Amino acid sequence: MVQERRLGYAFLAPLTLLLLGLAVFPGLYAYYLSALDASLETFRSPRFIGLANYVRVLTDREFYGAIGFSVRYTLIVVTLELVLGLALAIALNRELRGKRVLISLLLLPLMVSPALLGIMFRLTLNEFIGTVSYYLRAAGFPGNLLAPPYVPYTLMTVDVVQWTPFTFLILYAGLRSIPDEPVEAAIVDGAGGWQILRFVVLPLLRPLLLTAAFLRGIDAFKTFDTIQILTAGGPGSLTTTASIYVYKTAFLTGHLGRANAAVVILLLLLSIPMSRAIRHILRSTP
Amino acid sequence: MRELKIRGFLALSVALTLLIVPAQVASQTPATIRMVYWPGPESDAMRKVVDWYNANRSAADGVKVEMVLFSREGFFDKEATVLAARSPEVDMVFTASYILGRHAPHMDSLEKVVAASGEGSLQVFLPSARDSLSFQGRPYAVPMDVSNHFLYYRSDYLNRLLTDSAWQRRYSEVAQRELGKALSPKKPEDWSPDDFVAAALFFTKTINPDSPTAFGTVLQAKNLIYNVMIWDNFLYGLGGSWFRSGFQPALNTPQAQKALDVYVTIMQKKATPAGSTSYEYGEANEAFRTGKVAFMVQWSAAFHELDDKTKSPMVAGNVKLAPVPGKKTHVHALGVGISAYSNTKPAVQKWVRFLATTQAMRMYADAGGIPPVRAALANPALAKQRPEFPLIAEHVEKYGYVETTIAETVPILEILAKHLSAAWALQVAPKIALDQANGEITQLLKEKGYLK
Repeated sequence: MVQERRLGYAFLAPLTLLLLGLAVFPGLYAYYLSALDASLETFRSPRFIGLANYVRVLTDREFYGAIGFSVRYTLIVVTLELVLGLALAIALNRELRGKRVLISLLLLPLMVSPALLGIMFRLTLNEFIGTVSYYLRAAGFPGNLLAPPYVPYTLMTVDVVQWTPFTFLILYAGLRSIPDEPVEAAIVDGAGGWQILRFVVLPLLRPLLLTAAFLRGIDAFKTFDTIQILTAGGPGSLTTTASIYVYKTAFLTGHLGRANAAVVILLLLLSIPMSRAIRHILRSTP
Repeated sequence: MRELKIRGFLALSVALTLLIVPAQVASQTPATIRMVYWPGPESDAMRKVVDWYNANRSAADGVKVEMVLFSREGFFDKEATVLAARSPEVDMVFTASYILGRHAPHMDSLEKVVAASGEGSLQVFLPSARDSLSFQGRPYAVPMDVSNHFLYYRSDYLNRLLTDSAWQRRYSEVAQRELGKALSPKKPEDWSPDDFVAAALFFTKTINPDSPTAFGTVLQAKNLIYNVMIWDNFLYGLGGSWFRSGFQPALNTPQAQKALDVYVTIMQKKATPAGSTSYEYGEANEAFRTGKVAFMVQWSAAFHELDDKTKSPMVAGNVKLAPVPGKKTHVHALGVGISAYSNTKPAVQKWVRFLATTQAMRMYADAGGIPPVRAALANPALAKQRPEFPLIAEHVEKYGYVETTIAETVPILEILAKHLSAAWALQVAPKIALDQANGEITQLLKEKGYLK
């Protein structure tokens, strides 16, 4: 029995060490750095400054602006991606000619790295050489999609283009796994298409919808690459996300301690909705 | 006894051989120094110099140079991490004017490394480029590549403006109507910031339907530190600067307000493409090469491709250079200096002295680099292929300025990029943007001990 337990520990050890090294240690180190006046130049001999970094971050208007933009961005893109992903999943959950090819094409944006997608959109939205801009101009659209007031919505659209296939994939798999009986029973009871969706399909898909929303929510809140490439958080700080705020604080203004304080605050702020979301998902999973 | 003597002699011989031979071998093996560079035209040019040095001077100097390339993305962050770790793996640091203040504490000053004057000294380089790699009055790096700005203009259109009386009348009308100023066309070489704005409006189709171009100019107005460097030319050209005496920020001055008004007016009047708020170097070049823009302020590196018939067929041959209106050009240099943690300093110092020669810099220029050395840039043979090189030397020498090289240079640029880009995009009133920038810079400099 003891030997079995030891063997169990031995098997767990590599993964535990990896987790400690790559997650626990950096996490604790972030707390440590957040109390120091640390920069790349003073990395070896930083001063202990207590909670000063936290005070500085919490009194920075731009920090709240970044959180506000990240929250709005996350809510909008996740909602759109779930709705579009579900619509696509329903549309393709039937016998269609060329369905496999269509699904493969639909998944293509997922294969592109976010930074590369940012560069692609930077080209397609360029008003001199971009195809999208060309057709918009031909249609009489006077502005530029990367200029205010359109730019936040353009960034959201880029996210939706890239990540709707992800929600589609999860929900399509969910739809395929729904047994025929409940739907057939609803039809026999005289339910229409909308009623079947509302009262049969959606309740059955709920765990997957929540999982997709949760995963996309985390990812969307962290968005960095595409926005950094397209606007670098500007103009001003109009499109600065929490991740861009942390990056600029750490590497452009050089305040590693302050950037870590921002990360710790974000972690604390997000831990409440995150833990609730996880509990909710676990509860609704059969 | 005799046998003992022989044995003793043999033992002594063996001991001496063991001592001397490795020392001689070591003296013949050159010391290898590792120099960090970023990949691109700069490293291609440096590679040629390194190869020549290793082939021709290595044996005599006892030095072999190796280049280590880090990718450009986040290059200075990576290098700063290596320096913060006090790693002796890197002997020579690749640095830039705007990051020098952060690197300098990890570097050796070149003051006593290079000669006081003549070949092998920093006197070989143009003064503003030299200053751009000095920190607290001491040189820290050999300037290898210099960057500055020019006014790029379409000579066909601007020449016509100077000769066509109908265009001239129209120009004055536009200036009066749109700006309320009585202005007449001038040679681009003599432009003030006001002339820059007036000409931008004249060459904008929505303002002047006879304009041959859709937009007068193209601004680079993305939230980016390099775009601030371009705007700085107007600030300095109008007599302003980042600081009053003693690092007191001077961004809330009438000069700064006027410099910001140059951009804001152009944006408000739509004399630059609407997407300018997301533009940087590449986008501005694209706009110019389509022929839809009459002039722009751009980095010196762009001329080579804009005047190339294969790359820019619509404008090549009609692209000319003039000083940035206000006759000030931001100058920064990329350069190499000695890591304080190097274990091979005597060897590194020999290589540095070689780099500080006209011979090395000519080689560097021939290989595609832009060294801030008059003798290299004004070389007539090279000027045939790169006609902008003598102008770079002239402008850097006559109009060049360096904002600062303190460790807070990038944070200040970042603050300016954030607030100015908001004003450029017409999201925030210019005065508010400047006041906020001034306030944040003051706070930063107080925290870092520059101000009380």
